[in-house]
Amino acid sequence: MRTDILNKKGQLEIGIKIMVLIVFLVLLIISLIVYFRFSYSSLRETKEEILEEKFSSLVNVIANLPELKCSITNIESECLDARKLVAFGQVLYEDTDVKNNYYEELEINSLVVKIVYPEVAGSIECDESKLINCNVFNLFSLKGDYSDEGLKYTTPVSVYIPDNGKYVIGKLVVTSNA
Amino acid sequence: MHNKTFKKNFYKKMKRKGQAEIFGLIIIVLLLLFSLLFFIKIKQEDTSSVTLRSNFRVNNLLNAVMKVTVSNVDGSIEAPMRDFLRRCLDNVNSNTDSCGHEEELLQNIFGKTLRENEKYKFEGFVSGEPTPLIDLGEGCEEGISASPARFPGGYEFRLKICYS
Amino acid sequence: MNKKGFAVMFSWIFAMIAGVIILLSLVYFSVQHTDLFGRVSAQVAVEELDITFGSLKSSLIGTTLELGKPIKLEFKCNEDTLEKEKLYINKKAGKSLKGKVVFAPSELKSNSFSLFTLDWNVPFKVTNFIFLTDKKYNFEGVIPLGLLEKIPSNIDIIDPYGEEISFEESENGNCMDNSGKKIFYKKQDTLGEYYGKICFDETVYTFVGDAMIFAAIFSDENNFKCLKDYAEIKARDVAEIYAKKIENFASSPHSCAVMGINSEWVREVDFNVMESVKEIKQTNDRLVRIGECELIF
Repeated sequence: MRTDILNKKGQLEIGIKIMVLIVFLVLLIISLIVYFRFSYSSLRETKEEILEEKFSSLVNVIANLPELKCSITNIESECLDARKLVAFGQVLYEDTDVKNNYYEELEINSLVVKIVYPEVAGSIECDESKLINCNVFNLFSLKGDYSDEGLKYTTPVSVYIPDNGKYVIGKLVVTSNA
Repeated sequence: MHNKTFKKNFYKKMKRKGQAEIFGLIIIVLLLLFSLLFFIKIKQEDTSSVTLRSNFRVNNLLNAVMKVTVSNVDGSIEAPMRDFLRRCLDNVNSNTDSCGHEEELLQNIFGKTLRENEKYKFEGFVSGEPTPLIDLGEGCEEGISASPARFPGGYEFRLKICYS
Repeated sequence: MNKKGFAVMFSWIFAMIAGVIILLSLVYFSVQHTDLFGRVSAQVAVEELDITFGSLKSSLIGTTLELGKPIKLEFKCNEDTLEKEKLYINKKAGKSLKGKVVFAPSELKSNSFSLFTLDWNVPFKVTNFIFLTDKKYNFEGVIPLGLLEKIPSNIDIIDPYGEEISFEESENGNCMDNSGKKIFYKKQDTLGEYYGKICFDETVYTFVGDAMIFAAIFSDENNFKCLKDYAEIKARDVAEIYAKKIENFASSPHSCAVMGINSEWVREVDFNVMESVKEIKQTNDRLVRIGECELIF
């Protein structure tokens, strides 16, 4: 009789311990899942913030490149020179080495300046003989077709047209994969 | 009799033991919950401050607006926008004219340079007056402001782009 | 079977298993957290520094980077790779500094770094050189006039017990073994910049531009040579763009092509030879004097 009771007691205790172990393991697994989810989303946020900051900064760096910026004997003013924009686009189109150097430096898919004010109807590419009444400066394209693939980052820019001495407003558009 | 007492005591003891075990489990659960809450709280405190990126954009836009070459109503005069704005501020200040044409030009420019539905506030001040003589845009509580564009004669222009 | 006895044993087994699992979990997480936060912080820091350097390419500033605790920065420049200069933080995270020309010693360890920028003009502006150091310097000899004024007033790098840099106002100095860093210089009035020779012991480098003097001061020989070559590649690209701009002058109503400007002069300029650089500046200055002409730069 006493043995019976002790056996039943033992069984009960074994059962309780097994239940405790199961509950403990379940709680542990839930905690691990929650922890890793938080870590992952926190890291992803950090990555997105860094990318946003990086490309916003990059857009500003491009807008300040001395080979694009208005200047008189190295004294710069806050605008892009249309003649320099055309020369830049032509050199990068014609010279693969220079294009590769800029790609290494900037790591972007395409770089375009679009004139938004005053408005010009249609999409007219600017070149060395046409700086007035045009509205697109194609500066760089990895694929060569200036297609708009990837994430876009833009900043407004002032563009100086040397042919008529006027300033227009454009958007510097950077397209990138990252 | 003896057996009954023994059984009674046995089950009482077992019940207390079970209660103690459940109590222990509850403590573990509570500890885990508090750790989780603490962890979440720490994560929430780690907020990033606003970066400088929008500052570039709004500064670039204000600079471009000040420089852009525009013309008067009949197109007979062309000059940078800042010159037109300064002249119209003088006119408003002396009640001789308004800035209607200039405001229309500005609205057109902001419409083309800002994102759709992006709100802004553009203000023009003269001679330290606290009230803007040019006041465009809906404005907002939270946004990023450009460094004001100041010109000799006490002219000041401010631009703010709102967070979406 | 005596299940009560077995229950007692099971208690012990359970306690040991649970204890071991908890202990292992704690050890795992503490190791992971230390390593993870160390790596993530270092990687975030390297990305932030990279972004900072990128912004400094277009700004002339001087500042001091104050960090909460000492960190180790390593700048490694490898001429043979496309990536050139790389930055490492605490040996945990690294990144290629593409497009940024940062002159610094190969290794720095401090919680405070002096940082400033200066544009390199040959004669057109190529880029800003970024200078970073945790050291002080002792300038000996005849220091170039105006050189110290180019260091921002909030940057303090002069110390009589610092690394010795010798200066001599001469075009024809000789670099000698064990002479350390020595700079022979002359001022070119047309250009408004210094030019001359930089010695790292007996190895000589000719230079044009004030920024190159600081480049030699702040970096060791390996980084200096590697980054100087990189800067010249960048200058060559910029020269191509200006050469194309000159060729496009023919379409400009303000072209002064009659002045005989030749795009090939710009393409073939030697950025280490003062005479070559000066020719471009003189041509540009002629266009300025005429007025109403589009300029080369």
